[in-house]
Amino acid sequence: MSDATIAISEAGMTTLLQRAIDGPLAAHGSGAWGPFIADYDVSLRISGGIVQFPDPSLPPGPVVRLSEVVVQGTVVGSIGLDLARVLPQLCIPPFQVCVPIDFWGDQVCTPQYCVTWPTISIQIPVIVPPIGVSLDFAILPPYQDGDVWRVDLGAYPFSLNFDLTPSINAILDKAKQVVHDILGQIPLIGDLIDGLVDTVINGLKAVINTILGAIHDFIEALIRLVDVFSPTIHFHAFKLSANQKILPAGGPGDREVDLIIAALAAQVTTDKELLLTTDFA
Amino acid sequence: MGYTQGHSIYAALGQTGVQKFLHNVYSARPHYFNYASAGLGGGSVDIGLLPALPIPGSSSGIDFSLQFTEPVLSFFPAPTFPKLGPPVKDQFGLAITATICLVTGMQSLSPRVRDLYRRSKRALDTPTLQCADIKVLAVGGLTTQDSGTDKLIGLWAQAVDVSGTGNLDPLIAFILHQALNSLLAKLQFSVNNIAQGAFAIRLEDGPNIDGQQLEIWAGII
Repeated sequence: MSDATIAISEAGMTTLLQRAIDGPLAAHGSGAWGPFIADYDVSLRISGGIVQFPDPSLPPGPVVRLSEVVVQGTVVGSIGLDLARVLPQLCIPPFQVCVPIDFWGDQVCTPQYCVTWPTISIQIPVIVPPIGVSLDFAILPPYQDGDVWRVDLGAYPFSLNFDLTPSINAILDKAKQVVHDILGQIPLIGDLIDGLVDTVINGLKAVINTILGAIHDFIEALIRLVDVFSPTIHFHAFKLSANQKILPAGGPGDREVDLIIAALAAQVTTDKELLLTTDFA
Repeated sequence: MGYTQGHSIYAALGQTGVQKFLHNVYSARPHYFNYASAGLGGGSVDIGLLPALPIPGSSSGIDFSLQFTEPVLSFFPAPTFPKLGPPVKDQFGLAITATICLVTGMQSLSPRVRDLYRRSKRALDTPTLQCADIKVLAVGGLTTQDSGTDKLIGLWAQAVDVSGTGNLDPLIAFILHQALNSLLAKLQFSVNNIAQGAFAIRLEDGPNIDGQQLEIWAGII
């Protein structure tokens, strides 16, 4: 039997991890993700989260699963989108009729205007809609770091998971606004804009997976900026002072009484509790 | 249900952990366990002061000392204590030896008193001591006391049995019962000590003694 035991329920771990991750994330950076080019200032809010302990009797693997973390906020900066990579060619009218007018091959054609899709670069805040994020962790062997013992969680690198499907409409609405603004600059087609936007959006839907994939990669890069989601930065779940002060120093003769933690172990039990056991020197 | 039983936190100190705590108290604060009248060094940093035993019909007194050994603790389930029976759930048993010495002349001090006496840097007399060891067994339970937003947990002797003093056993048991509880009252520790400061907690159930552990169930503040 160990000298001391601490057990933490899934609900308790949920409370502790929620507190640890709840807060803002501010960062600046740039990069390219598919058709997107972003130079961004990130302001994200991380909140929520539920901890589950998968059945520890399963083969060795993740023992702490964090799900339903909500990431939302804004990315302010220059977002470039190469529309030609995702939108169909659009000409008004769709067909052009040409008639030869002389022996040398000169011809006259009916008017046609084709949209040349630009790479748009917009200086706007992009709303990152609430995204549910989940991630699996391993409990790393506790270790003494100076005057504290630490229990760290290490994220499984490829376990980060979030679903952008609920966000498709928000993304399409944003794209619709951008396309509307682009088309609105073209003369003589003002009355056709609504129909054209629908045409463009339908084309956009055809390649939405590509778009979502790029946005997914972009948002994943942003989420990885949060320590707890980083596969390279271990998340400090707990720290225990190696020198436990049980009775503080008092008057003459009342010297401080301590217990020194000599060993600390952590494991998840079959009852789905995180168990910390301590031995004192 | 596991350890937490519907609460967020379960924390326990095992019998061995509490014993190490008692050992550290015994080492760090010897004046909790060693008392003497002034003639035997009482009143120093490491020896608590007791008045000399008054002699009826005389204005003088007899110097004496009272020393306790390091207590040996056993949480339920624990061995049967003679006369007291075994500690039941939520009880502890405690064994300690009290040594009472009276100055009856000039002789060597007991090794521990001599050591503490020298530490006090007082003049070292060598009184003759007549000493007697008294085996003390106690069975008790836990106390809790509010301390701001925290709670303090303590041990409290409910029954004490002594042996070795003949017909005086009941009288000596009464005196040592008071002395033992006075000592235990100084050893209260915080509920948060049991969680070892990993996070702040609020006591929701317990403290209990079971399975040779002192257990609490708590929520996270």
